[in-house]
Amino acid sequence: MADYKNYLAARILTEDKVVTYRLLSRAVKVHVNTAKEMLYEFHSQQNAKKPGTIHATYIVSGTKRKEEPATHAGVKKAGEDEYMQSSPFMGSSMPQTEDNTEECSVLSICLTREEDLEGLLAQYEQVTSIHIYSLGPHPLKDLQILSDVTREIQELSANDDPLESSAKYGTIVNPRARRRAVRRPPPAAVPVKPEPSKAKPADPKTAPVPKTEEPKAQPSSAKEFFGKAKEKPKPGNASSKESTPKPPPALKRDSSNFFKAFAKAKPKEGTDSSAAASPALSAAEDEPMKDVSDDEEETYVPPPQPSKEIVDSDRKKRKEREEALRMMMEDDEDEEPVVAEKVEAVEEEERPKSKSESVEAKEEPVVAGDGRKRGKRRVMKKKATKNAEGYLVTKEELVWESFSEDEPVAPPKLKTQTSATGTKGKKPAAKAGQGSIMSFFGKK
Amino acid sequence: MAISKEGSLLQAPSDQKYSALERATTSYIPHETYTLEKEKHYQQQYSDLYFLRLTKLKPPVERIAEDAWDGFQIAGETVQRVERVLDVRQGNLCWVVGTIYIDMPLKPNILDDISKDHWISAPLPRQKYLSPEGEDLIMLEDESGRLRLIGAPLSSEMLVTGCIIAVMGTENANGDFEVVDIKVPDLPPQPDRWLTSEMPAEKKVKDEDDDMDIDKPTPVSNGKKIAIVSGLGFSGTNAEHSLELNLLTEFLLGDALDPTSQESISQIARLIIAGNSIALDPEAVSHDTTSNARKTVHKKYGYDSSAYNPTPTAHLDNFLTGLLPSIPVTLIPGATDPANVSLPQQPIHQAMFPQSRVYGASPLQEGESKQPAWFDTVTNPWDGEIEGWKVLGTGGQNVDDVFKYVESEDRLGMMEAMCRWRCCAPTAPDTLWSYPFQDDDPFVLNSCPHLFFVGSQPKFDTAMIQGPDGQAVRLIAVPRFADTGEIVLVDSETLETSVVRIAIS
Repeated sequence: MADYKNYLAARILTEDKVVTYRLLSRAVKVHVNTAKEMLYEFHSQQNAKKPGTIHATYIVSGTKRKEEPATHAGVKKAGEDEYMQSSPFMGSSMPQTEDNTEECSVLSICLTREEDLEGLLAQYEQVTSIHIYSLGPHPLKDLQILSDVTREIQELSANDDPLESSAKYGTIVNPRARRRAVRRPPPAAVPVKPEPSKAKPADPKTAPVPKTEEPKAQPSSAKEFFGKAKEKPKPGNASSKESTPKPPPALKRDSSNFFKAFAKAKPKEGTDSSAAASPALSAAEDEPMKDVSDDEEETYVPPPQPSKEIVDSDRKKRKEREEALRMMMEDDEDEEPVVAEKVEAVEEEERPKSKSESVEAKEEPVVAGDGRKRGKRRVMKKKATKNAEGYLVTKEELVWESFSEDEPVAPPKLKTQTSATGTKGKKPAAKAGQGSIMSFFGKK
Repeated sequence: MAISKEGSLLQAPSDQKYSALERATTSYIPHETYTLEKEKHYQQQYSDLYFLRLTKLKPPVERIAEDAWDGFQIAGETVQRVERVLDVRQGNLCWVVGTIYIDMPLKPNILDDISKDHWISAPLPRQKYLSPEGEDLIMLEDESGRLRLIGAPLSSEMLVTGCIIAVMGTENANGDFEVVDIKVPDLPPQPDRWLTSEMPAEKKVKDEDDDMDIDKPTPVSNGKKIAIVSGLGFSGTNAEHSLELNLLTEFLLGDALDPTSQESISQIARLIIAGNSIALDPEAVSHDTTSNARKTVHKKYGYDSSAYNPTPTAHLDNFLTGLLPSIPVTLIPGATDPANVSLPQQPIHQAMFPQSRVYGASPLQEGESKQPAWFDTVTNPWDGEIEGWKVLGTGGQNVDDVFKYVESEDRLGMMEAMCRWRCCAPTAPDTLWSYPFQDDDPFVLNSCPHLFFVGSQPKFDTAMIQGPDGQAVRLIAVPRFADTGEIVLVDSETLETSVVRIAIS
């Protein structure tokens, strides 16, 4: 029981920080109501020793005295042209307005500084509860600072499962809360770099390498990536240099780049996992090799690692096996597969460095397993611009348009198509080498 | 006032064991009335919507009008019923049903959008479309034609474009129709409570006993509540009310306040967020218009992805993640939320909530019956059943748009009018953007809700309205939390409301 005093003393007096009852309850793992009392105890003890050392904020709830209607006038928009009210609108059926705000009970919850507490209490007709909200070394000028403490609480309880820990702190529990099966660590702690446990072997020559951008872990993408990967990555794999944890609100851009990088590498990973026996680590990704993989970023690339003699003998057989395995993996993915392919295609277009627009079939809507439809199509858009003389010039342009607003579910079968088309335009030559680069090595 | 009192938390830590509180539950069945097909087409014309609305609402209005005006005489002339607007003959006393169209010079016009290009700055959007000089023309139209309406009853009845009414009167020499009386469809039939949803077993027994004694047992509150909040206004640039939002979380979780209050808080069984959870970022908007000229290259579909600010949704996600372990949430999108703009707004996509979506709907497994998600992102408008009550809620755009048509400031009056028009978004598709429905107008209320709430209103207001056949609807205008700090608690038995106001002084 005494360690809360140490905690409070250390935090308030030494570190010069603010403590709220919630933070205290999380820090010393007690019920919030106990924490409120602890704050009170500490506050009165310290100030008895030396008045003015600690400043509290209080939270008061209850019914306030009837207010003058000034509050409502304040809500009205000022400034704007107010229309004259000729006469009150009396419809044939006026609601029997039960002089609402008066009759309706209002519970006022108010947070206030210790210094203003007396004044606030005077406004209340009846106080139903009052307790200390926070303690700090100085009177708080701006109470909004207290919201920063919430962030600390979130960090502190990041590793707790909210469904289990809440009872301990006195949060109202709800045994009926339903969650999907969590396939990842609690969101606040998701620095894990998605790394398939069966990573490609570190063969520098053939190792497929993600595109130039360093893949950035980002929670949502991480999760989606896991959907793809055959197994959950072990935490140990998170050690590669890309695994810098990014805060959850990482930019979209990052995630799409990340997708892009992996979308390209993915088919290879798939094949790797079957072919490569040794789960070597991320060396390959640490030193991007542009030459090989950039060229052959096609959907299906035979396993790079296997040495030539094996390839010679049973190339065909393995290919089949990989195909089967790949299919299996695709079947495995469930509700949250990667949007990668699509995002990639979009990005491709957007980036200035992509020179030519990809050539593609007019439309490729694909119905996913659950009936959702997505894809991209090329549409003729009219674009009106004003030219130098001030005339409107209408031009028709071919534009890519994705026509799905649904759950980002990439249909499994789409995979080969889209990623192919996404890159085709860029490197049409790669197509030829596709699938035969092995035979190139093999035949010799 | 004495600060220390019995049971107060202003005391030294006692060894008292605080019992864990368990949250109450209510039955909850969301409906999918406003869910659009996955494949949406926008090629079709909006005329279908008006046609459908008229065909659906004409019969009930005609019934009401016939009852009221059958054999009605003015100066010896009996009222005749006229089938179509164009069949109205000059001088004949008659009544006719049609759709109201109000021609307002100040209404936004597509041509204005084009001429905007030629102006240095566009005129500010108007608070109201109503012309102060009275230049607005009220017309009645159906598929045959239009008739201009004049007369005193028009000023006393709230009318907006798109509502279906019956008018009685006569056409004068100018070709205008002098209105003597107006009838609206009035409240649609109201199903009994628990009619379409399963009542919890233990309650059924009790209620049947009650039925023996009285016809309609007056509901007795069992303390269970539904919390409705609107306009949370998470913003990327403005953190002015973040502490209020924290206090709201603490309140709903039962962390704040004393044990007695916490116990009553545990009776709040569901949180409904009615629109505008994300604040409109003025900076982003102005940025959008000024940057039109420069670097269009990087824009895709007119969207500058580098200007994307993920913090508001991240804050909202955090907020929800904090609440969801303890309380189920229904999230209705609003005008400023990241959903489509046109009504019916489709659910905010779960991808916006990387953390809280674990509580969201999971894809249906085979052979599994669909059950409502714990974290239910729904459409706007949304209807469903809570504790057997039929509930209809919107993010507020429908009322805000009707507001622009009428003189009144009485938001509840508009909500009531919508119920009586049997249409929860009459001004769609004229001034309220809407999906071009082809087969059905879902905005027409086929059955009367018991609870109708509208979010993002300037202040809290509530009323109970009654219909001719004993229907009773609880109307609630839910205020914006960001402005008022208020949330509304609705009793799940009596539908009585109370307000919780969170403030910082």
